Amino acid sequence: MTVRAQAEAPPLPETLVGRTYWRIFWRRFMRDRVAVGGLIVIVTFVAMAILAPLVAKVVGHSPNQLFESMRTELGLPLGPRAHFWFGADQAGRDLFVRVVYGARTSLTVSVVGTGIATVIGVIVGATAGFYGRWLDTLISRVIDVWLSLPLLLFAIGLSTVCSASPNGCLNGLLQPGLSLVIGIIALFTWPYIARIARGQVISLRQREFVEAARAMGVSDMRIVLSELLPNLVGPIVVYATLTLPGNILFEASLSFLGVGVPQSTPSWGRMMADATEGSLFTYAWWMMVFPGLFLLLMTFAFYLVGEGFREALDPRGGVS
Amino acid sequence: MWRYVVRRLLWVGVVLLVITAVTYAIFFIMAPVDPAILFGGKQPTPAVIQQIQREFGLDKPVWVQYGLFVKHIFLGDQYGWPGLGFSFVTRAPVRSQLGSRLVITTTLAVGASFVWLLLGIPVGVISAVKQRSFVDRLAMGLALFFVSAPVFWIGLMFLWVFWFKLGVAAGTGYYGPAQFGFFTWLNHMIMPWVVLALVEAAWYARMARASLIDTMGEDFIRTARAKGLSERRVIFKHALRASLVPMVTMFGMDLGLLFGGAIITETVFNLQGIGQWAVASVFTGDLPVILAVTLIASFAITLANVVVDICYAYLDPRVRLA
Repeated sequence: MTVRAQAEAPPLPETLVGRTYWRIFWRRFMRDRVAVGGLIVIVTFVAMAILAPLVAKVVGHSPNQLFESMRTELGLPLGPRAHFWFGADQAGRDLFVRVVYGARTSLTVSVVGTGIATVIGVIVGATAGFYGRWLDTLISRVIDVWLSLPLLLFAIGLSTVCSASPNGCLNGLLQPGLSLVIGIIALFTWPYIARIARGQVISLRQREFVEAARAMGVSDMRIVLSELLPNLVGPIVVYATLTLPGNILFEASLSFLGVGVPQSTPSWGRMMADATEGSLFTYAWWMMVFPGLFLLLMTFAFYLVGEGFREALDPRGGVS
Repeated sequence: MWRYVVRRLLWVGVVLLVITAVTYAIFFIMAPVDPAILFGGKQPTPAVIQQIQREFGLDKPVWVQYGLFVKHIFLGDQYGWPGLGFSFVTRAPVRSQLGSRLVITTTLAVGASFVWLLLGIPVGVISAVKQRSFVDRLAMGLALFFVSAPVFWIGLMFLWVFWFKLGVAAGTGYYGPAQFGFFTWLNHMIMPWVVLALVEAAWYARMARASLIDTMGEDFIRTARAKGLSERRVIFKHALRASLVPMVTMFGMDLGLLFGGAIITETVFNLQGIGQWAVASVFTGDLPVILAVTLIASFAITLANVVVDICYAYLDPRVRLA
């Protein structure tokens, strides 16, 4: 089949443009319509997060502004209507503006957390894979144990302990608030990345170009940085993208359980926790449906893009 | 085989010690204020603080404290075994509530595991067999949906739709079979089981599909086909067996994730299990309970993992010889 395809190949264009690794990757990604759709959704969410203050200005409601007119005499919130598209929450705040602001919290926490986890994961994983022997055994065992633990419980414990004082834990590294949630996410996701980085380094370590570099007397540090690391970028980007939605859900879960971001910060998880207060959601369904839908759409989009990245990078796929 | 079992059990001992070290570090060393104040509930009296300092040996060096902590867990403290300390919020030893709460969490986790495997693996297998068909696309679309959806949101949506709007399912709360009868109990457990299982089932459907498709490309499948076996026999006798065995170990690894989901499911459905206990204790400032639940759950998951590993070694001799 391939032979025939080559025989019928169109005449070569006048100017030949070399296809770099990334150009091939990008072309293959763009062919995947579902993944491109996901990317568009993500770009929209990012724009929404950045432009949240503008949205608030256009609507004319700030995220923590209380509207007495949006509550009944009994103090129950009123549902979606003109000027309050998503209705109000239990305090009479505009849910639409809060949901838009929620994208900010969700993206900041998960992207920064995943970024830190990726850096730690690559360093630890590459070290384990490159040096092998007892160091590899030790690190792999630590990762195995780490991943089998009920991380959400440890997160709850850590969050409770570190919130005991405004100074936070570890000399102020994990201060109550956003940085604590980011720290928890980083602390609990690096092993996933480390495992991938380790596997990649082990398979690359034996390859000819690494041996050639070693034969030329290049130092270990240099081999890792300029020979191995560039080859790690692809798989690491794929897996970081695929852990990101998990971390978005992690932040939402922590906030839902009341140990995530602080009360005043709009977070989708916390909005849904507010909806469960006294089974309020059975009446005020909008308080649960809208934050949940946005959260779902965002994680869904990230999974689609992550899968698209993975397939575009898979050597078994076609080239063009 | 026995050598493998002994080796695994020794390893478990190490893991349990590591777990105690990590929890000790989080709850005692990292604490920004005196742990005695943290452990005494919201507003501890000086007498309570002194009592805690004495019980945990907080005036002694760190390694003595840690030794005492480990000794209490494994050998018991003045409240009995396992030594989980005293809750100054409820004014009762932590272990007095443990039994009834563990029953609920175990009920939830075991039931959900059944739904999870019985739903996830068959869907994945059907998807793999009918690759690229409408059924496959629908199943994988739904799987991706449930992977992306937050557990608490699915739980709330299910409650809203099936309980509040349609009235076909029972609401929140745990109704013990002995007290309320088997069917009331079952009725109240079905939704929590399904909600907790859906996310995991979705992952397993995806994995089972990928694993079976990979296996179908192996040489021994071509051999089986060449022998003239029916396609049904090739898939169910040859391919399925080879592709599902690795998923057994993954099941052990994912118990931690299942427990994370259980915490949320218990909170949403107001089941008084140990996860809900830990979450409720955040609000009352009952740190001894959070510590105890963290330890118990980690220990339980580690032990469950060993059981899974030993089963796996029994099924696949390559593992124990490695």
